[in-house]
Amino acid sequence: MNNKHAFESLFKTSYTSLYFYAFHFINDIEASKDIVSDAFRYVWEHCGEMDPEAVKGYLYVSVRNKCLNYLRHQHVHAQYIEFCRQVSEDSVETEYRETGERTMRLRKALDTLSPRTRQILEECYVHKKKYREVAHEQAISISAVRKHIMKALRTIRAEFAKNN
Amino acid sequence: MNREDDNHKSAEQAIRQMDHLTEITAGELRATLSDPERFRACCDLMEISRIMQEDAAGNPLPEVEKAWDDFRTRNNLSRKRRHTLPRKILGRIAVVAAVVAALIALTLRRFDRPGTSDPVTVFLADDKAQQIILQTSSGHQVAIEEAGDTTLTRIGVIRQKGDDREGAPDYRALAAHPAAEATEMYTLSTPRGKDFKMLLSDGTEVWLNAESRLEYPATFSGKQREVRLTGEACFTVAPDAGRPFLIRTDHLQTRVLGTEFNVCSYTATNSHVTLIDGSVEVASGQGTDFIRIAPGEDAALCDDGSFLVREVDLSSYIYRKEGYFYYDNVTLEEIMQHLGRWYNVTVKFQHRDAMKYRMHFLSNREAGLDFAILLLNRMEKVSILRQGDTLTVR
Repeated sequence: MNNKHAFESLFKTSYTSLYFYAFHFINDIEASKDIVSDAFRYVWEHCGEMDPEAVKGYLYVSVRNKCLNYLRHQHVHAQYIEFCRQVSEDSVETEYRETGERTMRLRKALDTLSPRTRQILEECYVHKKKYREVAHEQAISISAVRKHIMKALRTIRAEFAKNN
Repeated sequence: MNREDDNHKSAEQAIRQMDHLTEITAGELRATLSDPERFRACCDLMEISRIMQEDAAGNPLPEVEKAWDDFRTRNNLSRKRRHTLPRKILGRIAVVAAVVAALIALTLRRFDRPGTSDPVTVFLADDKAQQIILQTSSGHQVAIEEAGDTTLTRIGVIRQKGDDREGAPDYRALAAHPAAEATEMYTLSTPRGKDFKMLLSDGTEVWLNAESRLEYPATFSGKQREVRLTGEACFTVAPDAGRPFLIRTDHLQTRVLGTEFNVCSYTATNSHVTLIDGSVEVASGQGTDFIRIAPGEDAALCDDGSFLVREVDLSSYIYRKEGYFYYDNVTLEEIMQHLGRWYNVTVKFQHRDAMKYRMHFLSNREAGLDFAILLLNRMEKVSILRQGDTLTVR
């Protein structure tokens, strides 16, 4: 990473994904940006000999750890922090170290969902609305909301069941 | 209930708890961790949530270009800073400056000839007499350690009592004699393996590291206090607001403004100034534009005479002054060159890849070369063999 151009290109190609990776844990725009920048700064200063692919994996691990620290400092509910720690442990080690293949497949699977299911997922997980709220807005039952989510879960499971 | 139903139930529970995830209860957490299916569903849902957030139309994307610009600015990355600076000189009680300029030619470095296994020599021992020499303007040379007090007085210096407080090394200190000719210029040089501490006429304290040379006047005259350095030194600069302290090396100029800092000027291609505390300005050897750096920053000299400024870890500069070898994430090549210079031994790398290994290493210089080798070998990354005055890294 001594090479400025390689570093700049890594920064520009990975920043967005790392940002959203941070954001999905901590739900804070500015803090997510700071965390990602911090991780890059460390890489720039200390990872002179590492190859870019290894650095990428490292960046995810670093962002993840910084997110957990951030949550701790924010005095976020301890069980939530532990939940984040646990669910991110596996993925951060395997997935992000690779080329992001898993993310690509997930994305492909999500594309096959009906617009309706997608919309409900977005309301719940992007706009962070409560199931009850979404049910009310869409004039459906709460259990119908959960069924749409179950459909998404099944779809991505099926995608990974194909070759694994 | 069959397995599929169980799995479905686990997934349902995961979906339910996603609705109040930030308030997940201890019971739910425990249940999640003890049920692999529920746990997997949670992982998947978190990933769905992440990807949808990234892809959602209307969700603001971070501005990457702006982030990159901010990042560069904040970390002084590839930013060649040239500015006009306020010429304010700060006066502070003790100003510590360390100046490093290594003599070793890094030209001995890589001969990357694939296919050959000849060891690469990264440091060559010197067989000259290992003495601390003071030279006067007239060319008269005195071996400080052997010289009697009368000899020293005659050339205009006096020996000071060594500083042995709290187990600090007893430097063979030297001060300007009040009766010295004001125009007299001295050159003090240290050999490998010996450092030296002295007082300049303005009260500035200098610790000169091994294989270094300091040229200084018996008395400072003129608008600035100027000394010339080759090698490495630490300066505790006496404050004098009217007369800044300027340290010149072949590649760098450092102007002290009230500061604790470190200048590392290896060859022209590896020259650094590192600021520990306070304020300092640097310029290239011939430059007239000084740039100011902030504490914790390191300015590296670029080919075109400008500086690349970024943040660094200061521990190694501080430890070095205190009699330790301290390296954090430094290449083995550099560590071995430093050991070679201090103990005056030749260093060869049979195992070339090892030159690039980055290591964390701390050793007391007083403990000796064999102890340092023992510590390095204990890491089990390389094996260093000592044969007389030659070290071979295998």
